[in-house]
Amino acid sequence: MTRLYVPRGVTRPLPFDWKDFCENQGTDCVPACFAMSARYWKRLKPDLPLPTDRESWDDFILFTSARTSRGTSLLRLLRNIPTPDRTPISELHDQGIEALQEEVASEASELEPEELEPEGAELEPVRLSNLVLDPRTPASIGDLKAALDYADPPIPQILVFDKVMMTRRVEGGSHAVLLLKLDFDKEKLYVIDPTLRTRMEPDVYDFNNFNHGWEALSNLNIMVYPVGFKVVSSSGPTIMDFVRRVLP
Amino acid sequence: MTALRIREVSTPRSVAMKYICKRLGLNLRPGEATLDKETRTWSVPIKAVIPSKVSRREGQSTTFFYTFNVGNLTLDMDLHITKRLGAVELDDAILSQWNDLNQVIQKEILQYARERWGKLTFVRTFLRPIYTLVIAVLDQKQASVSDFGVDSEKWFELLRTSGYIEPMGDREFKPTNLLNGLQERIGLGVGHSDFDVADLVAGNIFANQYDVISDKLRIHAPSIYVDTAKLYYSDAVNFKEIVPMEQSELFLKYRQVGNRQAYREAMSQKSFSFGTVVSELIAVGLLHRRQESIIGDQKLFDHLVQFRDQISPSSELISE
Repeated sequence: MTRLYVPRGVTRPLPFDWKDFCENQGTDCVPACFAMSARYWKRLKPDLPLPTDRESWDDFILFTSARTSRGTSLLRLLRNIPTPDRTPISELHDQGIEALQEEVASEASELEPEELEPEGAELEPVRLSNLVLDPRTPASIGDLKAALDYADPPIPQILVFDKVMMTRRVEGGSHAVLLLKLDFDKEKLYVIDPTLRTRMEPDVYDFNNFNHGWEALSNLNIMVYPVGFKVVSSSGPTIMDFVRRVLP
Repeated sequence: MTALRIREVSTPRSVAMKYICKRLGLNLRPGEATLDKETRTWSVPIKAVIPSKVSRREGQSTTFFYTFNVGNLTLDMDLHITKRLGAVELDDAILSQWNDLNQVIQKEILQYARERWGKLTFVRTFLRPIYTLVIAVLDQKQASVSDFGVDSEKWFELLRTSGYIEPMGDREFKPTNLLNGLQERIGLGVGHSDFDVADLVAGNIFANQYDVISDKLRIHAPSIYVDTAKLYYSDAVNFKEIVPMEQSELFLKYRQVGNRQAYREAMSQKSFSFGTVVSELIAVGLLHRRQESIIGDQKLFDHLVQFRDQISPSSELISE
């Protein structure tokens, strides 16, 4: 019989600077969480080719948010990510809605660039310059511990889940938060929710409720780390192992 | 190099989720996978959960979620994706499902404003041949396809099937009692002309033959008015109130589920913007402006609210 490893205690918190890493504009959750992660790494690794000014990141969130009915994808983030030498989108700010209209006009002809990727690369992490966006599906909440406790420095993890499912057990929309720390004794997750950034304090979810919402999106966790880290997956027994035994 | 080991689930559904995250967008999510033992492939249904946020000035907001099935991903036994979903294909599927859900609202809005559509720029621009033919047939009491060229044939046909003209010989038409009656109703004289009659005809045809105009004649630009009104009213009806909405908020909704082809066609006209669309809808009374916000028309809202059960979202989230 396999004994499940259940972590105990409290993880190291992500050293998050509420004053510096949060943006003013927009709360579209996935771009906002990515912007916070990118600014975290920029603080720790100043040589990363990312801007430091708040305006660039505000623009990034504004122009990445809700651009299609499909929602945000990592490739969409990649296309809009700000770089220090990029013309600031803030120049378009004054034009407000007119500028967004231009975006829509060009959106329809903007195909996902499947042809740019070799066959089988669809699940590879997305890499921009020296920053990697790595979508993972950890087996359990306990598997989020490693990126906080064993990585040095801790790796930001964007948890994507269904908040309506978490709170009301009814299917609703996706939401994303940045994981701050885990308390296995109290069975609590402490998260940075970009929609509640003005509070400047973490939101707290209990494991059981969070699991309901997280499972709806297959335990999706987008890890954001610079080149130099290597994340290795070790699969436990899966449905595939079962099927391979059943099928000749 | 720092190596980090994590345990992951590896199932058709989790692979589909990663694929969705990377290239499609996080308003989509995978359903339960099914195995086809004969072809030895997994099929993972993909569902779209589209949010639409309605904010109120007091700070409270409600987000409605509309859920649609939009297709399937196919994976082989090694969990390699063998049949992908394209971005454009997905956008089309979502838009089509959204329109199906709101069919009743669309139909009611079209009928409610049938005498006003003809006053809107894109109806006048893109349905121009209707104006030309109506004015000609009223003035000369007859019109022939040969006088207007082969391209006019489809417009004659549209007017004929709508009951405004009837054949009087080989490819020749005369006004029907319906059209003559409209002309009498308008009453020609000071301030009124056959152009006003044509306005009414174009509006009625736009309302009654909406699908023919977009699907058969492939004219999409005027749909931008209908989609914009539909986006406002579907949320207002679900909110059970003619809630004030910022123009930018309405535009964000259009970005998500508005007809992109209509938008491209409309915006190819110089000096036209989404703001112009809203202003025109306000000018014909389908929407109103209150301070900086847009609100709906009480009478139209009262009419539409009875269809609430047919367009209700799959869930909603209320937040402060």
